[in-house]
Amino acid sequence: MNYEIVIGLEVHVQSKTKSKIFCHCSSEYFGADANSHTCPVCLGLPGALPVPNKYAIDLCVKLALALNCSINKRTKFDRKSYFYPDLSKGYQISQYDLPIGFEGQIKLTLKDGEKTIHIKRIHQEEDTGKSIHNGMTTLLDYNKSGVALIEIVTEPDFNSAEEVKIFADNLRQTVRYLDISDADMEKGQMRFELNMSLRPVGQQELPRYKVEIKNIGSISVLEKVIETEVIRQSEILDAGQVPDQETRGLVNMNGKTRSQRKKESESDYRYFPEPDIPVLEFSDRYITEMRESLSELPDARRVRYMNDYGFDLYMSSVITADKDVATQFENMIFGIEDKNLIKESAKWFIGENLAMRAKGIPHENFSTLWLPLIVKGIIEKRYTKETAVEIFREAFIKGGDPSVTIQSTQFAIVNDSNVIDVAVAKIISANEKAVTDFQSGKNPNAIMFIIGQVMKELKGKADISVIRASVEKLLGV
Amino acid sequence: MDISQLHQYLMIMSNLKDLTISQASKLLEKKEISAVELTNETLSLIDSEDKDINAFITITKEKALEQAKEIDSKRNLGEKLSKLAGIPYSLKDVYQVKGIKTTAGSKILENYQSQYDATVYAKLSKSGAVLIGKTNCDPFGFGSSTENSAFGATHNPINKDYVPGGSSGGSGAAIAYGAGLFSIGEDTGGSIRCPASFCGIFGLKPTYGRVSRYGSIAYASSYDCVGPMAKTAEDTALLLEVIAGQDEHDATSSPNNVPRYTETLTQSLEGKVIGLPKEYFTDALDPEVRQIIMLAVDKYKSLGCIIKDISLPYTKYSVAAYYVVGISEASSNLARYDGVRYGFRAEGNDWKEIYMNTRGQAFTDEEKRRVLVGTYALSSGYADQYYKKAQKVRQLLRQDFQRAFTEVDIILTPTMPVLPFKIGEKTDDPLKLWLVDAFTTAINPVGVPAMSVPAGNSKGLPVGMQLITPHFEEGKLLNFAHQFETA
Amino acid sequence: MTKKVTNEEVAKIANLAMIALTPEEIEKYRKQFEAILEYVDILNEIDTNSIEVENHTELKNIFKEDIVKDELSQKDALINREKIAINGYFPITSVFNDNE
Repeated sequence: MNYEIVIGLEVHVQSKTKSKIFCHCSSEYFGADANSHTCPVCLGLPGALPVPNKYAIDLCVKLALALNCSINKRTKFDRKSYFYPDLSKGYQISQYDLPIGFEGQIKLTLKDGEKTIHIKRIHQEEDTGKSIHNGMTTLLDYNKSGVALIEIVTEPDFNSAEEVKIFADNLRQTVRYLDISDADMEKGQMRFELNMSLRPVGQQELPRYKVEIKNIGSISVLEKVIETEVIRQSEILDAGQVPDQETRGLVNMNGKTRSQRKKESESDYRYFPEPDIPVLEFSDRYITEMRESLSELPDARRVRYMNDYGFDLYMSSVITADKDVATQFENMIFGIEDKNLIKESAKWFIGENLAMRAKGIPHENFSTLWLPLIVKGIIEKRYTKETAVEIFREAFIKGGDPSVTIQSTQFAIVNDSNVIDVAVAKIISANEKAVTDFQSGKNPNAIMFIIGQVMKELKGKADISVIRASVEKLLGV
Repeated sequence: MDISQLHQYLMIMSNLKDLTISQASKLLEKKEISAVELTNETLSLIDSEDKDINAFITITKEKALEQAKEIDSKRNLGEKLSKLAGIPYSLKDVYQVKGIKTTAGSKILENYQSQYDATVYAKLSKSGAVLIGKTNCDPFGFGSSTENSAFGATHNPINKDYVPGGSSGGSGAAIAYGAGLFSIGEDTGGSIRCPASFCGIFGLKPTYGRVSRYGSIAYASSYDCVGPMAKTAEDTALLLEVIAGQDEHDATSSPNNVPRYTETLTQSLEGKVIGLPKEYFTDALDPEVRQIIMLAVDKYKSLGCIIKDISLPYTKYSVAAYYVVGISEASSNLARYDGVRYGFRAEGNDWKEIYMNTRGQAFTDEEKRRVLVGTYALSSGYADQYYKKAQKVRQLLRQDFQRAFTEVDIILTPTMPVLPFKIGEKTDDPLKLWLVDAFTTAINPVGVPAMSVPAGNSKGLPVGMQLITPHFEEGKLLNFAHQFETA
Repeated sequence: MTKKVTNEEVAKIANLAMIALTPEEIEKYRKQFEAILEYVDILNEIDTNSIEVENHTELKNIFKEDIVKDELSQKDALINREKIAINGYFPITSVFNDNE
């Protein structure tokens, strides 16, 4: 039987703050010695008290706005109680019924159209410590305990692994663009949980069960999990059964999951308002301020490049894929009005520039700010494209100011028709056979050979169409 | 020192019990005694007396002498020092003092070595006060008699068969026998006021948020107050000046300015209206206590006060509302005691067993009772009926006081409905002890400041009266207390 | 109205609160539960439907700045478990088959 996939996603993103959400410990703990970035608050010592990090709240509000959420102007923290060794207080400070953001949405650009994903809520919470299982012993490191964490929950709007991937990529790009998080998956800065079930194709109601899969640390594994779950759940449904409503964990990086030991009945988190933290009230002015500080998101920028500069989707996508690359590009074309120059520079930016970088050629000394200058020379026909490539590569590797090189006559295009005619005459007289082959019609391409030789004679510093015209003239074409 | 000075010195030293901060401060300033001498005398007293009283869990002898020496040398160098410099004091054992054992009176922290300083301790250190020890208390503040402590009961120095009150009973007892000239207690439902009443001293629960809670081991986060206990209103006023103020480590601490409480102690009470809520003067009130309180009321009349009968109609619900919210928050605040990072750790085959055994073995009866019922009150299916309901009743208690303060300047009640009782007298029934808090428990849910003032003795046992004002009017409390004391 | 509490309920709460109780203790606390719940039942006399709960503090928007300071040294963090700490970690016994 064919089934439709129904998925809701929960994403946790570590905020890019210097300090943790409720204390002044550094949140840049990756690679540090165990328990070297803790304090009474995040270690859960008796008598310690939490104080919220303003900047972390700003980031959460910004993300909520970027995802088109409504903002709860009056919001608070709540205690979520459960026991686990990595939870130092025996409760996590989170948000329950008044999350910072709610009812948002984001449009995904799919292969065959657009799709809207609804965001149920976004809230601020704290991360837990890290446990390392070492045989019969679990080792606990509380450096991660208290790091600011933003939780994003979607409605069960996803119907394919592709949609989930696009959303996840999009979200990752967004948080990086907005400097809300580095979303470095290897450092665990972005984690996924999904709720997934299957229903017969065409059924509108949500399936009566859902399977929760936790702690997925990369987008590729996310896709694999969906694939394996489709198979697993289909098999059960095909057999006339209903998959257990349960929580499953990852077994391996190929997406295989297994049932986790069920916690006694359902977890009773006993939420109640956090008495140690006074309520938060956002003024309209503050929300406007946060909204205005949102930099242009990748989607909007892509569309702008296509509309304003005539870039195609491929060019736009390559440039906007990474925030740093996009910023570099923006800096490069800053102040340039000539749209043709912008477009040509963009091609070089992608072509030569990114190609050289991809080869790993060191480029610290080269600034992409010189690119338009080099490209301009081609447009103005001061030298050939081949010459320009030489200039570029030399400048890329050696660095420095290439404008001197660009100006030097060494590269100048030969424009003097006399010089060209002389060279053409020389080549024609030295290549009788080619001339004869061409003129007799035996080998029409022989003219290309002659043109090529002339170019070589002129050391590549002539416009090929001018050479061609001269050769054709002298051969009486 | 000449003969008269020596005489005075010996008189004072043998009478540490009556020595006030004010007096000691002057002597220290004039260098008639040194901080080290005063500290040593105090330590000797503790050495000889505390075994029968058990006011202390830890005596910080080395630290005390170190602090005292430093004060003496500073003073000898001519530095201007605060009034508290060189004054020996104790802290209820719920306050973190780095490097020192801090137990909260519980077995689960019996060997816990403190890793940071409570703000109140940092402030007192800065003022030069000398910490002589950490005092006994009911575990985590759970109690009104200091009988629940894992470190044995504290005896009331006034009559050792009797309880000193609780939960800051060790603090009350310490001051009562002269072991330190003041103490910092902690009050969640009467824990400063009750021992102040039973030990015949002054105890002030400030407005919620007046003094930083950072480093004070939590019982109920929305009730807990850090407060001074001392022998005179003036001493208490001085202490509040030093310890009050906003703290960046405590998000609930108030940014309100700290008034100069010591400068308004002698304002006239002429024409001020004192409210006597009828709900605190029912037949349930011990007649001996009533008599002393009414005599106190007469004294206020003679100072020019007008007495008015008022009503706080929701009083009878205050104990229930107080406990439901209080133990709910407590059950959450005690969740961190799991044996992983500090404190008592039991054996177990895995972490779950370790958790369960640790808490099962190290929590006493009262701790278990409160954590269990608190967990129940927050649990799914019951939270609306218990926790949320109690929070709503709390609102009604607030309104009671708001209304009353439109009619009167200050409210006066007995601190406790009974005289101090004997050790063991009320330990058979947990509810009995809970009900002893009847007059103090309405205060913390509302957050207003309240103070217990020694009002007299009956059968040789002290009786305290409770004064209550609107939020942040501690100046008025201390004024009323001082005028009564010095009349 | 007397509230009845079963031993099962007490056991369930003890589990939730992570406190090991013997069967005798379960019975003991069950009785106390009932007494306490009966006492606090007095709150049901009051109609609180129209009551809005206010906060226990009037403060709002109390924040800290995003700066790094006041961290404990690793030694201080571990000091109450120094004898059993392993390479700077706090050790605890794993639950068999515990998935994180």
